[in-house]
Amino acid sequence: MRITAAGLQIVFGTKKIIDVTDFALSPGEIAVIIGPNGAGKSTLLRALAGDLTPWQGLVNYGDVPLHRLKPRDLAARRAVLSQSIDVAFPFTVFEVVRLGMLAGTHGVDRERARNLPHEALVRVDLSGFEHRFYASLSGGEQQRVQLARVLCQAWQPVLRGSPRYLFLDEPSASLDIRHQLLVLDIAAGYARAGGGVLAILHDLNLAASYADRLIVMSRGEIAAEGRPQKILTTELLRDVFGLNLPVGAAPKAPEPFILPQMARTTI
Amino acid sequence: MSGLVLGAGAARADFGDRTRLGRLAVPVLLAALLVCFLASLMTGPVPLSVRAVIAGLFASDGTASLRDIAIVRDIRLPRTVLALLVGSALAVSGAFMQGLFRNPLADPGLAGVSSGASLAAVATIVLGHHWIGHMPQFLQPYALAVAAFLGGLVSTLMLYLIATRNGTTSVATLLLGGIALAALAGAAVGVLVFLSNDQQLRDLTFWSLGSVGGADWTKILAVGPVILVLLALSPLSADGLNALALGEAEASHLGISTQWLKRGAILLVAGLTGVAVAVSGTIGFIGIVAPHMLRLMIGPDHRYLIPASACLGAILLLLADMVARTIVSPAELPIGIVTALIGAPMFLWILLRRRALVDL
Repeated sequence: MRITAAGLQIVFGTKKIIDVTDFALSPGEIAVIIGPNGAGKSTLLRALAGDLTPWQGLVNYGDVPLHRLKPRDLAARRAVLSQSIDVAFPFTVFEVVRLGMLAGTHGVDRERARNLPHEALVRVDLSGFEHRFYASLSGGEQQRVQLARVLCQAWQPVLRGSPRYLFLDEPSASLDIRHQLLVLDIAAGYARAGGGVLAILHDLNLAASYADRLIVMSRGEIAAEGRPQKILTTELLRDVFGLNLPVGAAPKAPEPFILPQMARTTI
Repeated sequence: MSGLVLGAGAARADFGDRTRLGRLAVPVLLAALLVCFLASLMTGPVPLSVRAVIAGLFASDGTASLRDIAIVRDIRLPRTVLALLVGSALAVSGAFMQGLFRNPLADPGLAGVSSGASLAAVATIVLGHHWIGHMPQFLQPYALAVAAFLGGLVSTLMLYLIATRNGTTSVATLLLGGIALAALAGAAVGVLVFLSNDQQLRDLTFWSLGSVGGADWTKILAVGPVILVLLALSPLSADGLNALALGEAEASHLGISTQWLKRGAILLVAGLTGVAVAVSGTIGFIGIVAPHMLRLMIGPDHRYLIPASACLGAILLLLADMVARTIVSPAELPIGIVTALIGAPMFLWILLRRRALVDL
């Protein structure tokens, strides 16, 4: 089951936020959206996740139009990690993560389900934080708690033969380097196991090294799309970000590599 | 703090999981409620022993004195049952409003819901003779309750529309909007007071401070079923309200139909507050104090918070009523004064603790 979109337009007031003619997300891949602030990255992600009703166009989950899916069925097919989330009321970390299982514990047996929040917290390197109050954690820790909750919701990348999807809006934004890599490794593992991942990233090198496919957005449209090696060029970066950035090769790796120190703003 | 709440002996796998605490709370509170219920029947100008109360309740063969039977069955029991119903209705409305607005300071009394219900009730008392005659016969005894419910519904909806923009509810707008709505309702009540005759005026003063003193079985039969049905339905929203703590978008990501959740919660708050106001006037602060105390004790999980709030709200209002009718005996203090004396400082305390977090 792929997620596809055709002729997708989202309009706020009179302003067209995104205009995407053709998009597809496949199981087994990590697709990463990059692009400048205000390019419509989050709007595209939210439209695909079902948060926004398109002005025009359709999003399909397999053969089923997104708007035909009941909230519960949609929640069984995809999980979403938004940017910073504040939790009303003094919930503990464990309790926040367990909320992920409100969507059901599809395919996880009862005994395991009880322990699932702990397993998820171990995955995001927050073992031992279960009893802490969510509000008392740092921004980066809260972000990982939310990722654990998202993992709890879609624990198995494939459910009864059907792939599940993770939508991650800047999952590494407030994380230290070690946990940036951890979070993207989790996403990579999810894709390898048969799930699909769509993530928004700002770090071009992280994007280049983890993405199977890069989606470059600019002014609400997809400016380029493809394997990072193929599309991440100095010309593209100049067009999209307005920067002169030489693109080299990462040491001992095939991925493109960008040193921000080399940047010169184009006027 | 968490160590105190969770207990040091909790097994490793239970760390951070307050499910057991929540499950324990309801039976413990029910036991406490039973004690308060008996205490309420024992308390009054004529103190009665437990034995006398039980005899007064159940005796049919002349083992209890007629005086005790009259005091227990005709005076204290209706009043106690009404306080119990109203207390739980107010506390559960409070828990729901707080969950809906994602804020522990939301309360039907403060946010103008009670004012709207009260205005509708006052309008019915003063002007009702113009329209009650046109209502179907079977509905006429419930005119006051129906009016209060509709008043509560309209003000809850208005408040929600005022305070919510793009799915987020502003606390400041909520509280200020509530003040504005309450002031507006107060002004309208003022006009109605001006128009009212002596008998109506006496009925009206009752609304401003609240009382469960006018309890009788007719009232209880009118509102009891409504309150009990709504209380029985209330746990259905528990998962949704828990998810809503993450925000509206996150709740829908988790498969919650937030539109239905919000509509259901608004109807439930309007219904519980409306009928509570219809029989007891505007009693403040129960809706804030009970859920807040419980969140400190068992955590904010609505699966346990809602039933526990119903119990604790009933307990608190029973205690407040016992104070109200004994402290200046044989006269009576309006119960709203007692709940405000306990509740207002508590509200300030929550406000001060949260001042750093809430942008007011």
